[in-house]
Amino acid sequence: MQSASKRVANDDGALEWVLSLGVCALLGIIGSQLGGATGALIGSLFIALVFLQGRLVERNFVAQIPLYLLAAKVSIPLAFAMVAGHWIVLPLAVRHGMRRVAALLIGETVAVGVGVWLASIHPILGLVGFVVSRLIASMVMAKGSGMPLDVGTISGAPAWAASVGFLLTTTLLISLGEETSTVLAQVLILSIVWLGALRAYLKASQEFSDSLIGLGNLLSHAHPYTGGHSRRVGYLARETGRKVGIPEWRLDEVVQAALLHDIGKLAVDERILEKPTKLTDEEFAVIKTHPAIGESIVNEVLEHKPMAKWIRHHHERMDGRGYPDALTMKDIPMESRLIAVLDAYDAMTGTSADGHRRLYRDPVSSEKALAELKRCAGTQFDPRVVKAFETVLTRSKRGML
Amino acid sequence: MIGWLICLAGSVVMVAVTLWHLPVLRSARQRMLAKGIASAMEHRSPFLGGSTLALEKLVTNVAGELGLSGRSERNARLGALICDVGLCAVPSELLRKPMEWTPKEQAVFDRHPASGGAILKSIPLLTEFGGLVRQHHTRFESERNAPVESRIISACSDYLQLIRHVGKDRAVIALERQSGFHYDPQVVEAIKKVVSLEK
Repeated sequence: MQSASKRVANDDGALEWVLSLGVCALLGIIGSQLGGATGALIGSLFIALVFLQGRLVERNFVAQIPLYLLAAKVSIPLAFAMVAGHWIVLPLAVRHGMRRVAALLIGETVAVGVGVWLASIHPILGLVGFVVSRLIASMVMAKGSGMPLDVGTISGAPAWAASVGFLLTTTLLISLGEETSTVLAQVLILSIVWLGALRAYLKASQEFSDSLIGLGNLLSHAHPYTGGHSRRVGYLARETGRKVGIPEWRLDEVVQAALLHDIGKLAVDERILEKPTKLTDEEFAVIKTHPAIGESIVNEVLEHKPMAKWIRHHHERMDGRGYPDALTMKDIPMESRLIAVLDAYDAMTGTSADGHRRLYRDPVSSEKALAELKRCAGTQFDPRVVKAFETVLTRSKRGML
Repeated sequence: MIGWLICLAGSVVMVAVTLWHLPVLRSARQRMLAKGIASAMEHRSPFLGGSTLALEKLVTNVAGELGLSGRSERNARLGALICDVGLCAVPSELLRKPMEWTPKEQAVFDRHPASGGAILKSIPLLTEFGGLVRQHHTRFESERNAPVESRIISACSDYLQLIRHVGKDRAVIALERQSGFHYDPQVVEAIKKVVSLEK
C-alpha cells in the first residue's frame, strides 16, 4: 500500500484537490466569522464547488469537514443533520451524473436553510427537515434530468450506511439526557441490525456481479477458444481504474463494462474470430462492428448509462487509428482506454477462468505482454493507464490481492 | 425511553425495508440480465428477427388467458426473453442460413435448449430458470410434466416463427394439427383466443 501523500502526488487531480480544499477552507472561515444562518449558507456553497470536481467526490467527506465544524458552531443538531444528510444524498446525487450539480447547489442551500430554521424551533425538527428537504431536492434532480431514480442506488449499501448514520445520530441526540450505557446499548442494537441488512445486500450484489461475469462469458460458449472472464479481470479493472483516478462510485460500472465489453462479438461469425490466418478487408470490417453492437446490447440493458459508450470506444487508439469512430486521445473516455489495455493484456496472455486459450496465437508470458503494452503506449494505449496497470499487476502478482 | 423507541422503530424499519426490497432488487436485476441475453441473441441470430419482444407479449397474454399465478406469469415472461440463450453454442454459420437445414444441422440446433440450461448455470441469478429453458422445445406428448411456462413458450415461439414463414392463418392450423402431440392443447386454445382478440 502506498502512502496517502504519494497517491495524491501521483494523481493528476491533486492540484484541483488542493485548490478546492483551499477554497473550502476560505469559505468555511468566512462563514464561521459571520455565524448563524448566513454563515451556514455561505459554507454550503463550497459543497457545490467540491461536486463540480467530479473526480473529487470520493474525497468529499474529507473536504466537508470544515462545513461540519462550521455547522457545529451554529448548532450541534444541525451538524449532525448535515453528516446524516450527506450520507443519504451524496451517493444518490453523484451516481446520477454531474448534470445535476446545479440543482444540487440549490437543493443544498435550501436544505441547509430549512434545517437552520427548523432547528431553531426544535433540534430534532431541524434534523428531519434537513434530511427530508435534501431528499426532495435529489428527487427533483433525478426527474429534471430524465433519469429514473434507481431503486438499487437508493437502497443499496451506500444508502444503508446513510440510514444507519441517520438513525445513530437520532438515537444519540434523543438519548443525550440518558445514561451513556443505555445509549451505547441502543447504538449496538441498531448496528447489529444494520450489519445484517448490509450483509444481505452485499451478498446480493456479489451474486449480481457473478451473473454479469456469466453474461460476459456467453462468448466463450460460441467460441470455446476464447478465454472466459474471471473475478480477476474485475479485480484488475477496479484497481487500475482507481489508480488512474476514476471516482470510487463509478468503479462498479467500470468493472461491469470490463466484463461485458466483448459481448458484441456474439454477433460476429466465429469462423472469422477463430481464423488463424490474416483477415481480409471484408472480414476485418465485420470484426469492426462488434463495439457498436456491444454498445446497443448494453444500451438495451441499462438505459442512459455511459457504460455503453465506454464499450463502443474500447478499440479506439490514442493516435486516432482505431475504430469505430477513429477518436483521438482526448475524446476517448478514460474507461475505454482502461478496457483497451485490459483487453489487449488478456488477449496476449490468454488468461482465462477455465484454462482455455486462443486457438490462433500462443499465449505469451505476462512480462512479454506488459513489454508489448509499453511499446504501444502513446500510439495505441494511454501511457498513464499502462503505467497504472503495470503497478496493479505487479502488486497482484506479489500476492497482495 | 424515547431512545429505546427509536431504536426499536429503526430496527423494524431496516428489517422491513430489506425484506421488501431485496426481492424487488433481485427481480429487477434478473430482468436486466434477461434483456441483455435477449438482445445479444437477436444480434447473433438474424432469424429471430426481433421477435423476442413479440414473444414476451404473446407469452404474457397467453399466461393471462390461462389464469397463471403472478409468479408463474413473471417466470414465463422472463423465460421468453432468455429461452434461446443456448444459441450461443450453435455455430453462427448455421444461424445465418435459411431454415433449410440438413438433419445433422437440425440436430445441432436442437441441442440449444440443453446448452441453454447448462449456460444458465454460470449465471447465478438466472440459474433457477435452467429447467424452464431446457424444456422450452420439449414435445408435450413425451414430457407432460414439463413446466407450464415451458409449454407456453414452446407453442408461442413456434407460432411466431410460423407466422413469419407461412402467415397467420396457416400458422394457427399448423398449431392445431400438433395440439396434443407437440403442444399442450390448453396452450393452443389460449393462443387461439389471444390471437382472435387481437383481430
